Amino acid sequence: QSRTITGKVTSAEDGSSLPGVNVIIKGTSSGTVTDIDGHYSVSVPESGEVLLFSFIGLKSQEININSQSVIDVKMSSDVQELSEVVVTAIGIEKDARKLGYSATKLDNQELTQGKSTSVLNSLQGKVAGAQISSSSGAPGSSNKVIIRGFTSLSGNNNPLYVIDGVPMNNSFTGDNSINGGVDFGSRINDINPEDIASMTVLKGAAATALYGSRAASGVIVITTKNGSNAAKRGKKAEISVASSVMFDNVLKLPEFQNERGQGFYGSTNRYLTENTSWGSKFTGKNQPWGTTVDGQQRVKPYSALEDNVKEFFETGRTFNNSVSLQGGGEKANYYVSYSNVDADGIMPTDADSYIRNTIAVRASSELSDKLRSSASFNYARTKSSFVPTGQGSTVYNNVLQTPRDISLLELQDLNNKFNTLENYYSPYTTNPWYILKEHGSDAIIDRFYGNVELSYEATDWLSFTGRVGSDLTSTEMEQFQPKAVIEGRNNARSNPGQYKIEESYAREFNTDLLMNINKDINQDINIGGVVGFNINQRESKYLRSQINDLVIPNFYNLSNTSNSPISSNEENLRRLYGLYGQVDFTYKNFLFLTGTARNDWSSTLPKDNRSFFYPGVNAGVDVTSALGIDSQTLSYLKVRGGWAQVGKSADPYKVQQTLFLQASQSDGFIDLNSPIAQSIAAYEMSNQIGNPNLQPEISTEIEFGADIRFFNNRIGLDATYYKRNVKENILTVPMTASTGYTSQVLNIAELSNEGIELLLTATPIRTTNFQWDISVNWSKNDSKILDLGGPNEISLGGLSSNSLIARVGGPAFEIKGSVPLTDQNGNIVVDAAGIPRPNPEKQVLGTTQYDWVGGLNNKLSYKGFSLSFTLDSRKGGLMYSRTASIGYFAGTAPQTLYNDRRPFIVPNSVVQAVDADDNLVYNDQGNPVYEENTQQISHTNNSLNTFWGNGGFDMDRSFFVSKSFVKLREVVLSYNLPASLLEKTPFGSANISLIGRNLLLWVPEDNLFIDPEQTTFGNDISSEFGDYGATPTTRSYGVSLRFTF
Amino acid sequence: QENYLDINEDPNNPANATVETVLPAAINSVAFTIGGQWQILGELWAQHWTQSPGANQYANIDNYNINETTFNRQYIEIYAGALNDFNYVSKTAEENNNWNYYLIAEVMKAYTFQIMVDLYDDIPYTEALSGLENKNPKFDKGANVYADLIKKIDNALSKDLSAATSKSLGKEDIIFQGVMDNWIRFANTLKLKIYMRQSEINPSVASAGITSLFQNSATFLNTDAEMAEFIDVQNFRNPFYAAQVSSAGSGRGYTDIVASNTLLNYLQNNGDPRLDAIYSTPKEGGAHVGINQGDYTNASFKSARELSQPNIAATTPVVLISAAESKFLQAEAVIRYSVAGDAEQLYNEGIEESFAKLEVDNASNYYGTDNVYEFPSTSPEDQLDAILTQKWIAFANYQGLEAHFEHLRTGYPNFLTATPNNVTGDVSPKRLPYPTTELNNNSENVQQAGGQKQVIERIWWDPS
Repeated sequence: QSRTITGKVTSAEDGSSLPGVNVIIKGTSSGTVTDIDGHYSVSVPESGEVLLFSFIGLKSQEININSQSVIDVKMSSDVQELSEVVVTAIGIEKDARKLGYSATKLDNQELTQGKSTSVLNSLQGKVAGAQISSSSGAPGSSNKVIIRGFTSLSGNNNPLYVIDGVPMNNSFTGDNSINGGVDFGSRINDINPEDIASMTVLKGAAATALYGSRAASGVIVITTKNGSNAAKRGKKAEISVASSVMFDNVLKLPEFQNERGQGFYGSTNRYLTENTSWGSKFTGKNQPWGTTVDGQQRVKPYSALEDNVKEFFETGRTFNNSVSLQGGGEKANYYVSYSNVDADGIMPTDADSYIRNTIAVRASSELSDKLRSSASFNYARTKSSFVPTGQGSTVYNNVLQTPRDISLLELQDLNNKFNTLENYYSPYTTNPWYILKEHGSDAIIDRFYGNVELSYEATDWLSFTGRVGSDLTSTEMEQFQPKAVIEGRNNARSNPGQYKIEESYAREFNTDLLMNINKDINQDINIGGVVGFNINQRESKYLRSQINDLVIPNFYNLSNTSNSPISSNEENLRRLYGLYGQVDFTYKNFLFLTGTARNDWSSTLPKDNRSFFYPGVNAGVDVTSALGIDSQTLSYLKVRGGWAQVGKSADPYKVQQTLFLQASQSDGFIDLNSPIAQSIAAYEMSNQIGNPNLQPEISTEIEFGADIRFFNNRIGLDATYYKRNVKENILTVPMTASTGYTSQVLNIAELSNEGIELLLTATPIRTTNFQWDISVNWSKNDSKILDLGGPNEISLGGLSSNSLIARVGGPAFEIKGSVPLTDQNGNIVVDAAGIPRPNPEKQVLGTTQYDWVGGLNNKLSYKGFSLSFTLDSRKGGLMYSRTASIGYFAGTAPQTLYNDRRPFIVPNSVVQAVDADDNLVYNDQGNPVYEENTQQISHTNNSLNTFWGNGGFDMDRSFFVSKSFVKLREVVLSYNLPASLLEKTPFGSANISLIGRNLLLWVPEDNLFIDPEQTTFGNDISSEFGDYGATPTTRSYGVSLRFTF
Repeated sequence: QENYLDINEDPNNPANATVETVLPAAINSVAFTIGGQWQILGELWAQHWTQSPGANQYANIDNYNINETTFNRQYIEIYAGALNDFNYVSKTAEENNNWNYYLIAEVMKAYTFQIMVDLYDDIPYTEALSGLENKNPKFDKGANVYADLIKKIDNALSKDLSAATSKSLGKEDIIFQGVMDNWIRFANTLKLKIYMRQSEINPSVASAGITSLFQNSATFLNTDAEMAEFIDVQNFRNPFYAAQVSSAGSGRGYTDIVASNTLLNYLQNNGDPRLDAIYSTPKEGGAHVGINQGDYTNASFKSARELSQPNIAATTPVVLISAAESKFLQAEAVIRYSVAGDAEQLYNEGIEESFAKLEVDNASNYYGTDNVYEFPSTSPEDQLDAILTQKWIAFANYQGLEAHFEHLRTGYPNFLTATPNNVTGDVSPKRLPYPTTELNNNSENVQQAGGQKQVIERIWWDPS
């Protein structure tokens, strides 16, 4: 005997009808789907007691039928829905319940509500175990994403990005030079966030192994909108428009002293050409400043201008407009979108700008019952300008060296005779307004990526899929400085002019052929599986050319020189085959076992080591189902565990032992190039010895976790522990130069990462109209270098004075710098001038790694209103800051006011004794003999500014700041217009949001200088060193509108 | 498909290179290093130049505060950039009986190794340059390296340069443009220099070696051995000019290095017209002004623009051994070891060569009877003083390191001053500490060689 149950499913949020909701009779596979108006009708056998309502993105509900014949259901959305579907390896969708590893999924709303132009910014503070940092406040600049710590000492620690099953190029576009670095972002920035349906962060080896070689640092899987959503909502077509405008201000500037101004030796009068603030105390009285031109000199009060640096920056703005059309029906869907971002950053003028246009076209259709095809084409064109960073003739460097009493706005008018290059007040710096106007860098990036997929369902348990994807990037990057011939006192600021152009081309081609099996063996056992074959080819080409002396001062063309341009080109090609498989075993819908295996053949490894195999296994047990627990208190408990390996191949061209390079020398300031005299060919033996026996890097990871939900899923805790060991790490190991070489490529380094990730979610309040959702994520990663293949320590970047190192037994990575030399009693040893002497052995100053990373997300919703905010917090670690170092050098740092700049003796200092013959005194053991130091540090012998320039009492340690911070990362106040209001309009939905990003920043007291998130040196290992004069990060606020019709 | 994956041969860099292309690269490495940062080191320690006030880029050289990082880059350039490439040329040439190349490579190796001994004393030598075959080369005693250098030069000189397999050279010989007779002279002059350096510590070796050279009628340089292939284009200029004088690229535009009163006053006191060739007058105008050596904290000057500065141009050559040096070495040999020759004439020729190098006329007004640089007849010691002081002037702007070494060896000129800011308690600097590359990657052998050295410890031949 069966009965018919009918009803309507509506949205709990806005009362709109919900089509496409699955209505299943619990315990069976039979059921129905709601129609376009949300109505359903289902025939229930006598045994059926419960109806199960489910829909992706909504909270599933179970309703006891009892004697009802009409059951209306209100379903609410749930971003942390337990049994959500996540996209795992190779585009395979899997119920999150079945995973034996941790994966974090974010949906479109979370990715777009903050209206960041780069989708990565929207992940900040939301993913346990991932550190996501913006490098600077320049629009379009790069982000760094490190998942579960650094896994490779050879670089490539950014995760693999996979769009709709196809790996994409995320290379960094820019130049990490400390003399004019540029950052045009990494290519993930080319994606329009509005096109993304969801992003899943796969962290561990168990989750990523099937992606192969490049997945060793985690995978971010991006699923784009394909048009099916509109159809699911019962619409033939839907147009969505999202528009926003955001404004940006500097988030944190260094703090400055405001007691002393321009000068040297504690005096201002004689030092009106100084770029430093080592002058006399402010008097407030009018006095002349700058140069004398035509017998005239400017006059201003000699007093502090507290905001002179702040005033330099302008309010940046970003317009972001996106429109999409999607639709279709049961058999076919399409999605078309166009977006435009027009951003101008906080540097005055549009020298820092970012214009991105994207077009996306996607369609899928069922050609027959068994054959389905889809295609996706995306094009993005980015045109950006970047204000170079670093030392020398860069804008911010010259801004920061402006004395405390000089107005930057006074320097702005380049037609003013006092502000010209010839008459600029200091011969040691260049007018930043001039650099801003005349120097610069541009990039134009054309990006095309897309894929075509065909799948064939042979039987109800066997299907085949073929997917071909391609990703092309063409980049033109230019840097330019005009020729400037300066006569007279400022002649050292003359510039022969420079023009550099780099044309590059990157192409990735990826093919996957897959066979999918999914079969119920019996009522209790289901077997699923995939066998796949992958071919991947990556190719890149560069052509770089530059001229270093222009003839026509600001005409930028390679012909504009009386010499030959210096040109070089480079090409790289790598290929890889992969054969992989996965077997899923499900028992009674509570035990989920998965085995994975992959074998790769990589072109970059020596022939004999080219093939490498790495297996994995993971399991999840739904304990509540297994034990039949049906409790309100413990609603759900899943435990999971996994073990997996991931192999990683080398970079191309590392196996050849000897190579010759075109000869060049550098002394750290300048280079000498060949051909010698541009006419005599010269090649030198490479200083690096390649390795014909290179092996793949294999990392092995274990992971355990549990997902516990209490009180009807109102409170949940997801905890994960992992430990990953990377062996055979490919590393360029230094050799002593007297071998004739400086390094060899080896793979014997070993490092480990061990950590925990916690995610606590709760819904403290849930009433019909009001809901409060809260989630806290916290993670901790401890890295350790276990072996470096011989040396105890190697340098991985940084500067010659302070470097980023890997040290056996230490975490990845530490910093090393000068500390004061002390005698056996701990007294500071000073030199004859009374200034602390550096310990000849540089010391490890600390780690660059965070102790922990945490995020707090809150969402309060009341009827159509919602307020969400995210706090992002990181604790521990040190980073270098050039901004700090300039403050000490230029006497603008508050610390330099120590003792009111009067003479002082370094407390408890000693100096090495000198005998009557002026020889240093050593004792019988050959150790230096020290005596009390009486030499003062003072302006009169020039030691005061030298002392502070060296970093003061702590020497180089002063230039390192704590990386700890708490940021109010994202605040969104949003209002959805009620359906009742929209009914008479063409709009299907309408939303207005007020948005704030990075509104507040808290840092420890001793960080007076920068936002510790800010880095230069790219987005991999070397960026851990810190900041070298990057554009300050920003605080953004604005408004967004989105509506559909 | 095997072939599909066989694409890992580097298309960007060749796996093989000919001696013709490697030799100039190696010579260029030496020229870049001794004409660049080590020129500054030598010129400051020899008190021709000094750090300017208002800047402090090279204050650590003037105050003798040198550590393992200061010249690490140069040490690496010499071993991995120059010596390794000379070794490649030498081996390849030897395999092919290509004796011209072999001679040049071996002699240049000896020249370069001598500099390394003179800066670092004990250095990796017998086990050096072996790549993976010996990743931790031991250090050899400086004295033993010296002895072996002579053997290596003699061996190279014994080869038949006229053999059919000896390829002739042209412009790729960036020192002598293929004139092999000059290389033989270079080799002999280098031997003379190596022996002479031992005059105080190993007088018998020096005497025997030098006597034998003269008895066998060895020919010595009468032209400058110099790398002159610089053009006035960025990245192709004289390295000192590019880094310090030029304001192009990363050049510092004449802010760091100024004239030292030690040399400037000596030239002025003797009315020596080379003054205007060695230094340019202050940018702000006026007559020559120098500062006392190392007095860069002197607040009476605001910047380098108020001071005289070394007069080095974009195309100024880097000198390895000058004709003047050759003459002065011969003059010293005549006095010390009574070998055939006229010391006074050689001395006068040395001064002639120095004036000629600086394009200053009328040298003969300064040497010879009753002139300011008249060769003394009082005592051999006075004669050595005169020779070495003139040699010291001739080295100015060209051979800073050699000026420093010869001052250490002989104590001449005897008017160098202690610097005001030094951190060694006025002990003058004598050597470089071992660099980071050895300390970090070959520490056991550094320990075997006595551990890290201080800047005030002596080189083996230094009698001071």
